[in-house]
Amino acid sequence: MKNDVLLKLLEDLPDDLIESAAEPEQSRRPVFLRYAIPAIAACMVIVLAAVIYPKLRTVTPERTEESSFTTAVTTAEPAETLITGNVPGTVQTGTVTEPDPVHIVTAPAYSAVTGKHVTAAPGETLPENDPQNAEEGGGQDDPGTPQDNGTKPQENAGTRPGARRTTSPSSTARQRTYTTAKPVTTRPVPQTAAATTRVRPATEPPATRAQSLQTDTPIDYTQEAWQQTEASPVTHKAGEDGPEKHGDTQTPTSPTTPTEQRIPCPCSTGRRGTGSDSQPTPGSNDPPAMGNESPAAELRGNKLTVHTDSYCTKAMIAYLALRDHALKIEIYYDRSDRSDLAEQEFTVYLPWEYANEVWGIESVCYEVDDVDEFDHSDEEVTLIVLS
Amino acid sequence: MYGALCRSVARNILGTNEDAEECFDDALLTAWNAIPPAHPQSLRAYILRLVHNHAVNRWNASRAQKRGGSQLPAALDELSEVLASRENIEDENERREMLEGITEFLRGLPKQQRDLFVRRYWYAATVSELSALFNMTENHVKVTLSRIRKRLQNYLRKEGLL
Repeated sequence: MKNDVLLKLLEDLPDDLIESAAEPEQSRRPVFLRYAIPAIAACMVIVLAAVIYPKLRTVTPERTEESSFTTAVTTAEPAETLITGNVPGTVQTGTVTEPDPVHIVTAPAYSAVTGKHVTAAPGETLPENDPQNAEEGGGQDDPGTPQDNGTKPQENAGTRPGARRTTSPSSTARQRTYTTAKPVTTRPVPQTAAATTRVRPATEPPATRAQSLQTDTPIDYTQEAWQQTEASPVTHKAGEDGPEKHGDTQTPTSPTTPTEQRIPCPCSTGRRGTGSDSQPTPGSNDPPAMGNESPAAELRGNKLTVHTDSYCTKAMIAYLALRDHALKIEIYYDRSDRSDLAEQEFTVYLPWEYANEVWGIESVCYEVDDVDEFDHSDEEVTLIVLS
Repeated sequence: MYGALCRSVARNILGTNEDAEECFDDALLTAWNAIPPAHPQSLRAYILRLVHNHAVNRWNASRAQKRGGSQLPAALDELSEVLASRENIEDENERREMLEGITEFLRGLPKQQRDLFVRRYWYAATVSELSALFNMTENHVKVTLSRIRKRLQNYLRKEGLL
């Protein structure tokens, strides 16, 4: 088209188009808006990510009506609480479902409910009206009965600390649940008898051990006491066997509560203190009130229960669990039992080989020296943080 | 009030400030004589059109004298390439249809592109002026105008006007 024709054509453009073009629209925003808006948006994204991302990393499991202590126990019980009482004088604990020819008693226990040491002489049975005994239904394997304990007295007479078990525990022998959530200390008592004990090697000087063995006062929950208990050997040599033989050590334990191991909190600030004289309330699912020097953790089976209000400890657990390739970490809350305290169950699923490396869990897992006999690849360690 | 805009239009078409000033004065005189009885809805568009017409007439006269400096030939050359298939519009109806087609096309464009098109081919603004006016780079202005022309060509072909 010729320019003249085109020019004439354009001359007749409507006025509104010409008027509109007189005030053109800026295509680009000012420099401030051009750079400020993305910068502000980036800052908001960073802030939101910092707030939300830690929450997204946790998975909240469904809670049951049970307390935090009982719900967390879902997997197998390590060998330390597998007590297959065929030894005379041995008091069986826990809910052992079937007898095991290997007698493994880790330590004499302290009944957290009654506040007394539960001891049993050879051939002596515990009173049946014991609340924990009745609660756990120990009638299946009536602990402490001479009939049950006297079948194989010399099975583990030569068991060394840390030695591998000759018999792999079956899955049915593992203690699955606990109806009482009271932590029980692994406190030795002076009675010695022909009992089978399988514990870790002693790390405490003999004098201290002897002193602790002779102590008959109710155990307190102070940090020192816990550490002492933790450090003290739970192996009692009895009879004529040498210290490397643990089979003849009588280790009366609580007939209803499993033996536990306490781990001091690595975090000095992580205390849940309600007074050092606090004692657990019988029949309550709440964990025992820990003193200002309360223990940091206790082990029930492969469930590690941490009593602490320390966020630092929780963070440390998370960090270590992640560092050690934890399979899964769960944090969930339970305010049903205690309205004033928010219970946080901090569940860390760890392979056992990694659990040994997690802050002191190795001191818990020492009992499971035959860990190779288990398929612990996907076992779980439950850390319950009470805050 | 509209002096700067009118002078810029006249200067872009004629190429010199002196001619633009004279063209603007002629346009004001024409408006003075026409109003009343003329009663334009948009005074700015009315005056701009007067300036544009005077500038085109003066440019036609100066083109015979081979005076350069105008941006209008370049703009018209760009647009005439799009409409190259239509050599001439002799019939008034055809011219009106073509104008309506271009108008409809421009109304369908975003305001920025529409303003850019009108500024370039009616106001005869230079690319640099458009770049400064629209806060765009010159290359961006050229690319945008090229795309608008291409779309105009497709639109007119679709409408059967080319």
